Amino acid sequence: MGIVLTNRMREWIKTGCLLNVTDKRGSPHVTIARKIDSVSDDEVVFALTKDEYSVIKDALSKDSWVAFGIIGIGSIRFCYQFKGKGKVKEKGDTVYLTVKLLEIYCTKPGCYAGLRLDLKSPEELEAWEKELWTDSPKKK
Amino acid sequence: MVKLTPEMKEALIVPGKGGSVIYLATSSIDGKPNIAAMRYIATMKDDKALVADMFLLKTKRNLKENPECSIIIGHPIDSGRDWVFKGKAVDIEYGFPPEFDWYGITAKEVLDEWGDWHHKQPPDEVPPDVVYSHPAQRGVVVLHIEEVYSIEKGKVGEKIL
Repeated sequence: MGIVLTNRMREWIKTGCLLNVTDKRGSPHVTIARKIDSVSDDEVVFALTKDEYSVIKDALSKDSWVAFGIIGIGSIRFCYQFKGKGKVKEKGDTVYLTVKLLEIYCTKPGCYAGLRLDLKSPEELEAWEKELWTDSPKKK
Repeated sequence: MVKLTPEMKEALIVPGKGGSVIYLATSSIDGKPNIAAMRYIATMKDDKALVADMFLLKTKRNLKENPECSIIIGHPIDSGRDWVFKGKAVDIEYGFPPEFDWYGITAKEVLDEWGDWHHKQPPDEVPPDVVYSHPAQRGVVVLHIEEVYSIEKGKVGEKIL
């Protein structure tokens, strides 16, 4: 079943993310993505600066798994973790990292912690989320 | 050897006491990354960060096969606390021998001080729709910090310590 991000997920993801990519030794390399180029049903395109990309470049070239969560107040209000495979395209000073989403997990403390959400249908996911949260990030 | 600055120690406490929400980043032995936000954070000595093991699943499994771990300040961001703390971590669970030693810190020291974290620092600042009804602490993750780097705008990846 394909992933279809909810509207709330799309809004929060656009506020910025922390990306974890690991190297062959299993060492985490974490960078920040302050700018998100686009979010579609199952894909997020991060627009990274060269220095943001430098932290994950080597590890990503060997293993394309990317896990990410939300920075700022979203780390409290938006309790999810996303995982997928990343592909990079450099254009001028910007590095576009496209992550094709494969897994979504709830990270809300309590009984839902670790619940895998990408196995729900888009309708089920939307309904499940609405029962727990309805807030969206404040517009900047 | 890394020595955390006073500012870093102030950042690595629970949000309700002026600290931060942190992310714990780990990896399975075959390289699948994981990153999850946490509230209960503290430091011990000059080079250890502590996180409560309350609802850890993949993080816990990852640390059992691979100690490589990072702690990242997730909130507030762009406030002079844009740091990644990198090192080796263990989840000191109840049942560890008291004398178990992780880079100069014992299981007894850790569990005596932080083994009942919910009562020591209750989550009063956590919004009602996020707070959990019944915490069940199973241990304390101890990160021995070996390196600190920046995720500050324009300085991402720069080594600080």
